[in-house]
Parts: sequence; C-alpha cells; structure tokens
Amino acid sequence: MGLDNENPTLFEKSEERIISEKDLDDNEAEEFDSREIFDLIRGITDPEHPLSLEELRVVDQNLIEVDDNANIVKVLFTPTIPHCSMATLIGLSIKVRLLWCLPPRFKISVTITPGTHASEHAINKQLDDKERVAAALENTHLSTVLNKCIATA
Amino acid sequence: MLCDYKNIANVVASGIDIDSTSELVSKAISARATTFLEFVQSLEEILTSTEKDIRLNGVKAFVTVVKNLPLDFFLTEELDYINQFLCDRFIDHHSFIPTVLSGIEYTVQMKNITKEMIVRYFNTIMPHFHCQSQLQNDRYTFYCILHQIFLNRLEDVRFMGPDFLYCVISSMDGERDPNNLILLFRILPQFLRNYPLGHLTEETFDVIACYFPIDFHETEESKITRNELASNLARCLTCVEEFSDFCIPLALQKLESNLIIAKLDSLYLLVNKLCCEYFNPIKIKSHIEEIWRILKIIIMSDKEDSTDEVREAAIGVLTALLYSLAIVKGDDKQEQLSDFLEIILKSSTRFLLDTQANLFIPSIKLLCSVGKTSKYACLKIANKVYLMLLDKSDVSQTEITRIIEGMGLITNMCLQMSIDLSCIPGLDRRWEEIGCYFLLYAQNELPEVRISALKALQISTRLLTKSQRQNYYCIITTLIKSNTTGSIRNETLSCFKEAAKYYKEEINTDIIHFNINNLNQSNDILMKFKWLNAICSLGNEEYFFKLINDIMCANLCRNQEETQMTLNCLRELVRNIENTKLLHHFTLNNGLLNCILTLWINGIKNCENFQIFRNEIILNDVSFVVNSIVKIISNSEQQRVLNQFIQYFNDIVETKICYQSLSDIEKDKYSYMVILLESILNSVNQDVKINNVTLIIQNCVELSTFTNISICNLSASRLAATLINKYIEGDESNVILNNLKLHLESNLHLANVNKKNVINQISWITKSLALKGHSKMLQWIDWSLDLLADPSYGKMMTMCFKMLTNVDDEYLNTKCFCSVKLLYRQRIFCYVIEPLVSSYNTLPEPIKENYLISILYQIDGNNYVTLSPYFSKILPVLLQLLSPEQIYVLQSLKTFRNLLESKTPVLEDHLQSFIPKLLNLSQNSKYMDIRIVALQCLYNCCDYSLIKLLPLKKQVICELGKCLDDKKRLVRKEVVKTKSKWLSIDVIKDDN
Repeated sequence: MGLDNENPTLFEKSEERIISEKDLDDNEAEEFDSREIFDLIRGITDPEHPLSLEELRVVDQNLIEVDDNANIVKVLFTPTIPHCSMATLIGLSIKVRLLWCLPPRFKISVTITPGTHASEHAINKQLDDKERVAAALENTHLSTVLNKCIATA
Repeated sequence: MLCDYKNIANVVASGIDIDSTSELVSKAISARATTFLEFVQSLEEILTSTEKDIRLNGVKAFVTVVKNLPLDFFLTEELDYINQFLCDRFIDHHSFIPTVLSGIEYTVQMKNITKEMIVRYFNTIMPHFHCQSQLQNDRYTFYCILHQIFLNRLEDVRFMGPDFLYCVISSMDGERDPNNLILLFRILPQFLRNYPLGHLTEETFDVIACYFPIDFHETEESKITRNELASNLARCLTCVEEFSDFCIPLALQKLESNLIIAKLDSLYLLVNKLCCEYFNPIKIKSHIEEIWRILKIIIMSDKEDSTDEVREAAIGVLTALLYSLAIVKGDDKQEQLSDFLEIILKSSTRFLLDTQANLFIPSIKLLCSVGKTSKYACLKIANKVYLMLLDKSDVSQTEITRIIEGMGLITNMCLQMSIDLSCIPGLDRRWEEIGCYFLLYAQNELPEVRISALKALQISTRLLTKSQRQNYYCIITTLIKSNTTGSIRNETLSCFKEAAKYYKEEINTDIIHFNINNLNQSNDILMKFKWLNAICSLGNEEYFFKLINDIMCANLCRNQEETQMTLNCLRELVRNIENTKLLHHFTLNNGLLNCILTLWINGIKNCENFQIFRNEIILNDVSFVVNSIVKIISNSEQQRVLNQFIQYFNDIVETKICYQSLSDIEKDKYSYMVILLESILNSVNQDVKINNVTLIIQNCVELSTFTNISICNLSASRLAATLINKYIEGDESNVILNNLKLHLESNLHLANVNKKNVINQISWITKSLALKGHSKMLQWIDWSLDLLADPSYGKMMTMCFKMLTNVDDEYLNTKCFCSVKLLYRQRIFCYVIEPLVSSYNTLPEPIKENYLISILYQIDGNNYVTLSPYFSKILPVLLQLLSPEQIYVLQSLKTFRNLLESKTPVLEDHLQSFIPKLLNLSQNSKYMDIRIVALQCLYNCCDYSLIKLLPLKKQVICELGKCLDDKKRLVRKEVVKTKSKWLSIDVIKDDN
C-alpha cells in the first residue's frame, strides 16, 4: 500500500499561546479569535502520518477568519499535494472538530485554499453539505478514522 | 504377613485408599520387612481378574508402590519384569494408559534401566499411542518421559533413527495446551541439536513453526506469559542450522503482517537467528535484499502501527545483520558487506536530498546505527553523508539547522567508532571545513541555527584544531557575555563544560583569566552574574575547584546586589551539583563555608550593613547553602565544623535567654544568629554530639515566641522541632515535653505575645513528634485538635494539619538525619479524621470552618488506601461543599479532583450524585478558577468504567455545550478538552 505523499516537508510548530494577566482576570471577557480557532485544529493528526496538520502546514493561522459578533468562522486548509486523496477526510475532521468545540451560534465554513487542490470545488461542496457531513459521521468506519485524527487535537 | 496381604488385596480390589495402602507397602518393602515379589504375588487375583476396573486398581497399586521406592531399589533383572509388565498393561485397555505412563515416567529415571527396556517401551508406545487423544495431564506425563530420554537416554534411542523423531513430532503435532507447549519448547532444542533430523527436517520445523507468532492471551491466573512462550519458541526455531532455509522466509512472511506482535516476534526471531552460533552467513545472502526491503519500510515509515518498539527491534535486526557480515572473514564476505551497505546507502540517499522532509533525520539516524556496527561501514557512511551535506549550496536557514543536526549525528558516530575524520578518504582535505561550518553557524542570528550548531560543536569538541578552538573560545566568551535566551545559554554552558573537560589549561587561560580580571574591576552586576553562573557550571571538574571557591568568596559581601547575585549562583550550584567533591572542597580551612559563616557571624554580631547581613532573602540563601554543604560532609567533618563555630553562638547555647529583659540590639542579634545556628545544626547527624540540647530547645522556643521577625520565628521553631526529633529520647523527654507544653500554654494566654508565633511553634513540635512516633505525639495532636475550636487562633491552627501531611525537602526529613517513622501520615490521619468530622458536624458555624479546612488538608495529604475506611464519613462533607454558594468550594473541588485523578474506586458509585453538581458549578460559578477545576473534575471522571458513564454521557455533553460560550478563554479551553474526552469515552480502541 503506497502513501500519497511518502516523505512530506515539515514546518516549525508555533509556541503555546502566552497567558496574559487579562486572561486570568475574572471580570474581563475574551472574544473568539483566529488563534483560538487555530489552537483547536492544529493538533489534528494527518490520516497518513502521525504528524499534526500544523507541522505539515495544512492549517495556518493566517488562513483563519473569525467574526465573533457576526458568528462566523471561516477556515481555509491547504493539502500537502494537489492530488491528495485525503483532502476530504482532512476537511471533514477540521469541520467536525469545530462543530464539536465551538458554540452552536457560529456558522462554520471549511474550504480548500483556492488553487491548491485538483478537485477543490467538489470537495468544498461536499464539506459544505450538512447532510453529507452528518451521513459521514454515521458511517462506522469513517467515524473511527475521524476519531483517530481528532483524538490528538 | 499373609493376612495383611489379604487385607491389602481387598483394599486394592475395592479401589478405595489405594494410595495410602500402597505407601505403607512401599515403606515395608524399603525396610526389607517384605519383598516386592510377595506384594505382586498377593495381587495375583486382582491383576488377572476379568473385570478391567479391578485390574486397573491392581495396576494403580503396582505403579504407586513402584513410585514410592527409591530410584536405585530394583536390580536390572527385577526391572526387566516390571518393564515387561508395564508394556503389556499399556496395550491392555485404553483406560490403563495414564497410570502406566506415570509408571514409565518413573522407571525411565531408574538407575538400572537398560537400553533394551527403553527401546521396548517405545516399541510398545509408538504403534499403540496417540498422544493428542489423551487428556492434558497425560500428555504432560508423556512429554516428561521424553524430557528424561532427551536428557539421559538419547544415545539408547538413537539407533531407532527417524522412527523416534517421528514419534516425538507426531506426539506434539496439534498440541494446544500452553503448559505442555512451554515444556516442549524448553526441552526440544536440546533434542533437535543432538539428534539427526534427516528427511524429517521440514516436517519437524513445520510442527514447531505453526505456533509462530504465538497467539496467547495471558489471564491473571496463568502462570505462563506470552513472552516466555515466544522466546522459547524462537529458540526452538533457530536451534539447528538446517532450519535456516525455512526460518528466514517464515520470519519475513510474518514481518509483513499488520499485527505488532507478529512483527516483533519475527524481528526477534531474525535477531535470534543472526546471533545464534549455528548461523551460517551464506544462508542469509539470498534473503538480504528482501530483509532490507521490509526493514526499511518499518524503520523509515512513520505510520502509526510501527511503534517505537517495532522500529527499535528492526534496527536491532539490521545491526545484528551487519555485525554478522562484518565479523566474518574473507574477501567474499567483505564484498557481501559492502554490497549490502551500497543497497542501504542507495535507498537512503533520496531521503537525504531534501533536508526539510520528514524522513531526513530518521534516515541519518538509521545510517548512524548502521555505521556503529563496523569501522568499515562507519567510514563509508561518514564519507558519503558528510560530502553530501557539505556540498549542499543555497540552503535556507531552516535547512541549515537540520544539516547541522545531521552532521552532528554523523560526527558523534565517528567519535564513538574512534574514527579520525582526517583519514576518511575523500574527506582528508575537507574535514576542517566541518568544524568551520559549525563555528560559523554558532554565530548565526537565528536561535535555532545557533542551538544546533552549538550542539554539534559540543559533540565535536575533541576534533577541533588548535586555531578552531581559539575561535570556539571566542564564541563561547561572546555568548556568555551576551543577552541570549535561556536555551542558547544552556547550550553555551554545556559547550563550556565539555571544552573544560578536555582542555582545562586552555579554558583557564583563554576564557577565564582573560575575562575575570576585567570582571573584578567592573561594576556591571549583570555581567558578573553571567560569568559567575558560567564558572559555577564547571563544578564537576576538580581542576577548577579552587578557582570557583576563590571567586565566590571574593564576590560575597561587596554590596547587597552582588551578595544576592553570588548567593543565587551558589544556591543553584549546590542544588544541582553532581560531583559532591566540590562541596567537600568548600569545607576546607580557607573554604567557602568558613568564609560565609565568619562573614555573617561577624556581620550580625557587629551590626554591620543591615542590607546584607539582615536581609531576609540573603539570609535564606546563606542558610540554604550552609545547610546543603553540612548535609553532604561526613560525621567527623560535621563535628569539626560544629566545634569550630559553636563558640560564636554561646549566647544561645550556653545561657538561658529571657527575651523580655534583653536590649533591642540584643533581641535582633539573637534573632538573626538563630538562623545561622539552624543552618549548621539542621543537617548534622544524630551521632554528632551537641552540648546543652535542652537549653538550646528552650531558647529557641523563647526566641520563636517573642521575636517580631518572621524568618527568625520560622528558623527558631523549626530548629527546636529538629532538635526534639533528633535528640530528645527516653524518660527525661516526657518531662521536657511537658514543661514545653505548659510553657507554650501559658504563652498563649500572655497579652504581649504574637499568638501566631506560639501556634507555629506548637505545630512544628507536633510535627516533629509525629514524625518520630514519640509517645507524647497523641497528646500534642489532641491539644492541636482542641485549639482548632478557639475562636481567635483556631484558624491559624489549621496550618498544623497541613504541616502534618507536608513533606519538606530541606527540613525534618531523613536526608537531614531526622527520625521519620514509616506511614506516620496515615497514622495521624486515622487518628484525627473521626474527631475532625464529628466536630465539623456538631460545632456552630464560624468554628466549624477550621475543622473543615483541616479535613481537606488531611484528605489532600493521603491516598485512597488510607481514606477508604473513612469514606462514608468524608464523602457527605465533600458533596455538601460542591455548590456555588459555599465558601470553600474551590478548596474542596481541588481535593475532589485529586481523588478523581487517583481513580478512587468508591467515587464510581456516586457519579450520579456529583456529576450534576459539577456541571452546575462549571456553568454557574462566578469564578473562573472554580469553573476550571469543576471541568477538570469532569474530565477525570472519564477514567471510570464505561458502563457507569454511558447513562450520563448525553446529559454531560449537552450541558458542556452550554459552557462552550464561556466568556473566559481559559475556561473554554478546558470545556473543549473535557467535552472531547466525554465524546470519545465509547469510541472503540483500534489497537490490534
């Protein structure tokens, strides 16, 4: 069984978020920001390698857009190679992780960074389809793989 | 006698009590009171009966009597009859087989048994016996017979040739019982090595190989482990050379399985094979490429199923393979090794091309393990990899980090194999380049590049040329002086240490002396700190002891800042030191210990610079350093130090102090001196003699009670407690302790006394007695319990109950030679918990709290085993507290979290009662700390059994969903963690 990308390029991991005085003050409130969303998904494991999406630079903090007041979260992800067959699975795991870990008021959109995958359009459509995401979670085999990817996040 | 035999015959015929009767007969025969012949004759009717059950009883009696006689009892002629008889009975009826087998098992061990008899046994057994149709016990007996034959009688059966071998393998073919298998696997190698296998080799191998890899699930009762079975099986499979043809393909076939166990077993089998004495390297030749293909996949791939264990085992096989190729002499074999190395290098090269790729470092590590197997391999690999890495041009900064790391690994390999870089062909002109490369990048701006270059330099210290070293020292000097990050500093100091190991003189002249002169004149505190810190890192090298000692002494007491900084360095030095020789050096006549104590004793006595000699932080450091040095030295050295310095403390150790009548100056002087006295006395051995201990204790109590200086109160009360623990024994101790108690009691009622000081002193003494298990311990604990009820100082008293469970690293422990009884904490807990809980339940509101806090401290300090008998009493108290209105909710939540973390089993039955309370707290508490700890409690709940958790899962997940929108980010982080854990509780674990 061959891997899509046997020897992927690795990138540096970013430091843990620094906790400020403000974070510890009971009276202050913090809005959701792109870093918080990034922290939720950066630890997800790639389905092919025991490496995190951050190390493979599939997700990047600069490609995350958050508007706390308008209840919008937009995440772009970049597959390591344009023909990656795992792209849908990676997108799905990001989407599921966010669905589980963000308050229900947010509208979450997970799409491929434009121009980085051969079947970008089809995958985006698939990820945007509530029914298909729900159906994927019902599938035992798929949910086992998903759980494995998300477990490390 | 005859009458007796009649009786025996009847007993045997009836089948009851055969064992005990036979035992009596055996005794009589051994004592020559009767003969075996007479016994057999008495059984005539039974043994010839037409009823098979009666005959069976006869045979049982016969065999039991034989088994109770000594191994050398029968003569050859007698044995011959017995042998003949047993052979006949073996084919009499199938139900006789178990009994006869046990008879055979015993008789084959007999001294006078002959070859003919053994052969007769097997000639009878082979055509009539189907081992696998017997019960497990009987099969075991048969294998025991085989064991005996393998051990002592193999020569007798050898002429039977393949027939005997066939008998052995057909008897074990299809065996499933682990007890039998482990026996077989243990005894077979001995047999297989000494018996010609002939045309049955493959059959023999197949019969054993079908168990590979062992599929055995251990239970708690099974005495056999899977590993035991596997390792013995591997021995069987590799014990003869003839098996090689089958063994290697078998291992390779199973290696491609997905099961980790199969992979591991196959790898161990290969290693076993390669390391065993019957290994013939020619055999491996045809498989070598195949082995490498599979090993490469395992070692290089980072798929989840190849765990580290598998990877390490695979590297083990590879190195074993290379070793075995390398140690074989002859040109042909050398060629084999070089061919194999070529294959390895060729397939690794493509991973070395892209330094940023995932497999770059793993493939270098693999090559390093290959290189460590022989000098030849090392040379070849070093040459190839160095040149490849040196020739890379136009590389980015991140790539450089990895190139340097790779070169460091290869350099390390060369050093371990004692290969001189300059003699590597192709590298002879360029090897200096490598050192320069490292030196160049050690000055790079990027911290990551610098760190990896420094690491590489550290490895290659010994390889640097003289001029490179000069350059290296400059770099170290600059880095020590500069303001860098912690990790670069640590790396620099490691380089400094490593260089000092090999080039002491150079380091001393080029780095230290060159810079220290400037340092002594400078006022730059930060720069001084950096240098002192660097010099302290050389504490393991004896060469620098005097230097460290002198520099430290010179920098004490100039001014407050410098003193503080020097003591800080010293504190770190004595805390982290590996080589205690330096501490011994400090106790010499002109040593640091002498210097510190003299300076501070004089400083305090002469009321010199208060900022230095009466500064709490500085005194704390002084006390720590002195204490650490005294702790390390021997009894006689301790006694010497004590004798030398005790005279300066005459005011405290010789005369009774009455604090109130002292002048203000004296009050302060005494208070500070006691800190120094404590630092000397705290860690002395109990064998070291101290005069006037009782007086010192009384004075300490006096000082601790009346002093206004908190550090002095702490030192004095701690010193009193330490001395009581070490020196107060026997009858007089009761008097002393009673007097102390009366004195403290009266002090508590004095108007001009700080109550906190007295309570503190009581707590320390109680702790000291509890540690020692002193007979007065319970009296003092009772007193502490009573004091909790006092409205004015009850709250302070709760500290005592915290102290009783705490372990201090520096004071009142066995390292300071105090007596500490085993399980003292548990003993106290059992004693105090019931009174505490009942007082909590009965007493009115404000006082109640003191008991509650004490309960929480006590629970925190003990583990579940101690708590469990009292759980029914404690749990209601804890549950009451878990509501947002309670004041002590945070503290009790933390206690609760600790209990959950240690998987306290009792709590499992109460999940339903407290999970809703925790959910409520995590949503509705006003304080983020409470919300966070409540969520952590919920997180820890997931460790309980699934069956208890599942009914609650839906509710928990739904309620946690509401917490996801918490206003605090830290709380949200905790919610996500907890929710994910709850979501995954029923996920099926996919681990083979």
